Amino acid sequence: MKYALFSGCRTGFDIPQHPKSAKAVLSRLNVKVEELDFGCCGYPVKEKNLDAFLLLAIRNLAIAQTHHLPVLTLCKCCFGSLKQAEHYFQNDAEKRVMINRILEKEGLHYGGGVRVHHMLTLLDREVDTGIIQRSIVHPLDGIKVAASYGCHALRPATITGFDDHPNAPTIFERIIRLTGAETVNWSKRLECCGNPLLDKNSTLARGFILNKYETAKQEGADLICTACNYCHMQYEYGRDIILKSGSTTPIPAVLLTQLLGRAMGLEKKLTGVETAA
Amino acid sequence: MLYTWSFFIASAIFLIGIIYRIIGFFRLTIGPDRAEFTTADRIKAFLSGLLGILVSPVRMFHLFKTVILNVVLQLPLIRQDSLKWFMHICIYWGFFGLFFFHALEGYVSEVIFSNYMSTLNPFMFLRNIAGVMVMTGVGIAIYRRKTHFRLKQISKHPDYLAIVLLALIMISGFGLEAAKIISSGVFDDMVAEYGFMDYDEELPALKAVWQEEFNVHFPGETIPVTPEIMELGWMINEDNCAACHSNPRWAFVSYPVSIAMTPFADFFNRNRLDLLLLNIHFLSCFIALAYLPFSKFLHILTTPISLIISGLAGQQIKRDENKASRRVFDLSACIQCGTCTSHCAVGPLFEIFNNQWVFPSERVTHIRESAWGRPMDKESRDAFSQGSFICTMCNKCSQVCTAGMNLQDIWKETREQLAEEFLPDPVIRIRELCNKNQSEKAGLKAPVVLKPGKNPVVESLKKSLQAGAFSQCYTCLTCTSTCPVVDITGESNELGSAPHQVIHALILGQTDLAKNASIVWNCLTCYKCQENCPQGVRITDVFYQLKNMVHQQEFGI
Repeated sequence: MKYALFSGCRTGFDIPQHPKSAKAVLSRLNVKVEELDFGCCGYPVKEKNLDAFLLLAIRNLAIAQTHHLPVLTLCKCCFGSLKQAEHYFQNDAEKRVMINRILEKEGLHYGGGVRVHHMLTLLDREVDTGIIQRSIVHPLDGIKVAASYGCHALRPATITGFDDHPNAPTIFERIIRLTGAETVNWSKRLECCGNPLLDKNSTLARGFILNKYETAKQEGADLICTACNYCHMQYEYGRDIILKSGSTTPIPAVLLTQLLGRAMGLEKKLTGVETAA
Repeated sequence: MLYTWSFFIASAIFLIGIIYRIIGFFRLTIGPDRAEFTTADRIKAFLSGLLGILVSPVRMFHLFKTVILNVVLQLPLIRQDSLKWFMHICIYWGFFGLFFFHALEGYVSEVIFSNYMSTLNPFMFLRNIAGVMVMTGVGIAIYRRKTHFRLKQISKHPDYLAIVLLALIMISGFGLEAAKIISSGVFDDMVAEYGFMDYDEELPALKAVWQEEFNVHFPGETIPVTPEIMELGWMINEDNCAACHSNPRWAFVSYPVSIAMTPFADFFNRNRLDLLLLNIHFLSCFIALAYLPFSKFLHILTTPISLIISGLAGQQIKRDENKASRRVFDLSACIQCGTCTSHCAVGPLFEIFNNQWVFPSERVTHIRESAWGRPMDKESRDAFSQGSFICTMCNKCSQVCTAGMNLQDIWKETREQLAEEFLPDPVIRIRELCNKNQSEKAGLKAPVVLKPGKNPVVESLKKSLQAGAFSQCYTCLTCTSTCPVVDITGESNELGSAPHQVIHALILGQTDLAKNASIVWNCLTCYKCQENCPQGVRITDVFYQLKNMVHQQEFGI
């Protein structure tokens, strides 16, 4: 099976290690990916104009459709956006016509129905668990990991279909445990990271992320695992704040693909984290 | 006389322009002027960086590699779009071939080749090849700009002017060569200069050969042609001409052009129109020379340097002084090729916002112009800000830039400057506006007035797929008790600070109250409220709709 890798805008400059580690991990699992000339998922303009959001999101699905590939996102905001856009596209005939009329100008057309996966749903549902288990050559025994879920993939659950139990999901923990690590029952695992308010209300944005760092440490986590570009950037932002304040050293926040890559014994230049000894 | 004067004037303008540019590269700033570095600091930093390359053999090797692969062969371009690479290589190599070996023949060709003559092969033939290359490239350039969906939207007069000027130089060049082929005047001049022959018997024979075989036209003369005369003519041609003048048929473009000119040959030759074409040819070259520092032709000098910088140092360079200079310099290396715009992650939004500043290539033009002293009026600047903040900073433009620009850095600086000018992201602007409205209301303790009849805003919300179900709310407060923002601020009593109040306000038709509610603007869009609502009210989506409404109110879209 082959997927169109949708890395997301923030990976171009801020977190290039995300697609890099993802590609290395996927190639270990024999999952083929192709990088298409995707644009923005639409999430950043949703507050400005819903049509703009729909156009950008559907355009990506149309590009994937011309290549006959399902989409694989690394970011939960991208995932949620594409899922929501597909939902609106299916249920709003007027918008469907409007979007396709614009897409036709660049020779694109969307008929609906492109499947969208997030890295987690792919590993959970599309890849055989045995293959993942066999690829773990350096199990992360004894490491306690706090999974930071990310809102836009989880909710609205009927649209995103991320986990069968949106109020008590386990998909992230299931995948983390495959690496041999333990998972922490973290009270704030489903909470927002605060990134959407970063430039708008920095007091709140700060409050959310510091709270997450604090509670994760209290509940015994050795590290926080993310699987979303925006969450990860927010953790990096929070880490800088904590380091500047000089009070404590924050526990590290790593990407899911980095965690997997390390457990698979991949090199540092691919994952951005130290190679397992 | 005309030649000398126009050459000196053009060269003077060119030199002044180049000096003006170089000073500007080290003097101007992009983004907020923090007055961190003086021009002298920046020149010093540049020179020390340059020295760092020159003293290191490893860096020199990289420099050499970059020049060959990225500048001369343009390999990054071939990986991106082979037609574009072919187009540019045609213009680039053809132009440089003509520039060095034809325009500067006295300094290059004659020095390198001891037997160089512009009328001799292979030089005559190669000149035509180079001309054809440039014309092919120009043709593809026009085709691309006219057919590519995105390029069509961004191509402007200066882009076409550059193409047209280049085409004019080439067409006048071919025309001049063709006019010289048919010209009896040129023939007479050359016979007078290089010929040693008997004018009564041998000259008519030579003329016969040149008329019959090389397409020269002698107006008002009837030249007898017999096999014997031709034979004599070929002999004289061999003795007098052939050493310095190949068969003009080798000029495989100009020669057919000269045949096409045959019907007008008499008129041409009587009026010496070849001299007119000569004037057009060199004047168009000199205009291009004078225009170079002020047009996209400047990229001939700047883009190779920018490609070398990005090839050696990558996207990020170390010293802040050099970063400041590079921003200014990069803007002059831009060729308006539109690659960034065709790959832009949010470029398609031009169709929705109808704002040309969504396109990175357009923003570059404006940033360059305002840096060099042509700022915008306030209204356009506002539109520019809206376009700038649609950018998601995905860095794709810098990755695909064929000129090796670090656009990311330019966007970062201009955004900072816009924020200082009180033109930040429109979302931040409408957020602040609504916050202001709210505090005014609270201060005045304005009574909430219920109006009879239907509120059009509420009716439009009810019809929308995203927000339709809000009237089913029975104020159970589940949304407010699950809201992480309410949780962290601890506020749910102040009007507008809790999600259920917004939904309730909408049911009462109080749309202004809803739009100005602080929770709408502090919403994380985490969808917890919506997920938990027992009545299926799409609270987060209603908030999105309200934000969209205010955006439309303020920005018309």
